[in-house]
Amino acid sequence: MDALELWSMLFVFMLATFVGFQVIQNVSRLLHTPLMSLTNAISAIAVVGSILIAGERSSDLTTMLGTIAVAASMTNIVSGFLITDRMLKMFREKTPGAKQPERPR
Amino acid sequence: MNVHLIQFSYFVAAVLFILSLRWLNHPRTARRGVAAGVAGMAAAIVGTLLAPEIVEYQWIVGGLVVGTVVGIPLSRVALTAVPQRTALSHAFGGLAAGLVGTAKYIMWLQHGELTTFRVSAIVLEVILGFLTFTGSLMAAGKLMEIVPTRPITYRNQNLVNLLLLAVAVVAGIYLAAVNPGFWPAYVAIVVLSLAFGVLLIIPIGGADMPTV
Repeated sequence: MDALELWSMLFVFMLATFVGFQVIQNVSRLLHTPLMSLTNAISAIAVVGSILIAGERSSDLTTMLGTIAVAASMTNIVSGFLITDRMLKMFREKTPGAKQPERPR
Repeated sequence: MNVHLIQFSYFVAAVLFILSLRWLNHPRTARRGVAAGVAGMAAAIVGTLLAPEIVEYQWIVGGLVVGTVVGIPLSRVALTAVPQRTALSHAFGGLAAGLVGTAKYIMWLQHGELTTFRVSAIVLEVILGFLTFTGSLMAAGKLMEIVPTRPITYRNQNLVNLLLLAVAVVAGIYLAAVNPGFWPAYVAIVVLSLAFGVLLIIPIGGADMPTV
């Protein structure tokens, strides 16, 4: 990575950090738990790195490590989005803004 | 042409992820946020599959299938079990990060392409990844009460924990600055991180686990 590329990456990192703060600042308390599972699902974007490793065929060992990583990330993706949606579906049935009786402590 | 397509898919994914989190701010738009997240992830995965470095697809597909098969039942747990499920998910996330870092270290080691910057990034990712893995497993275990929920403490515990972490960091500095090819140091870092994750969580009582 040359110097300009590194600085570009740092710009992205800095801006992303600010954006991250911004988008979660006004999350209603009712939505904290779905927020946790959603951000966990999104953080599984690491699947991109593991897909490349599992497909590059650098060595048997790295392919195995990559495959396990793909499976682990995909588990987070599937269960994360599904369970977030499941939690959010419950908001429809109650009056808007009502506290969920089953919300885990 | 391909490189533009791939980068475009990542671009779209980033936009969708930002929208996803924004939409999750209010109950009215929240479910739209999930849809956006799914779309973003799909775009990123499809884009990645186009990468020229990929020579074989069977392991990727296998991993994606296993992940789906495990992920669906994991999403059906009772809502009271959500903290445990979240802890388990964090464990998977840490595992993925640690394994990717390890694979990259091995690849670059074999091709003589380890640089100080790369090793530093890898060491950081791997320490955090593996301690998250075991720490989150411990947290899930405490929440499921298969691990004793009472705080387990011993004399000089904090000192021991800090020492473990310090040794891992020193090994990391050695790898990055002095001898990147000395892989026993890498193995030591992995083992120390795994141990640190366990030891970090055992003094915390089961009731405080959801915060952890």
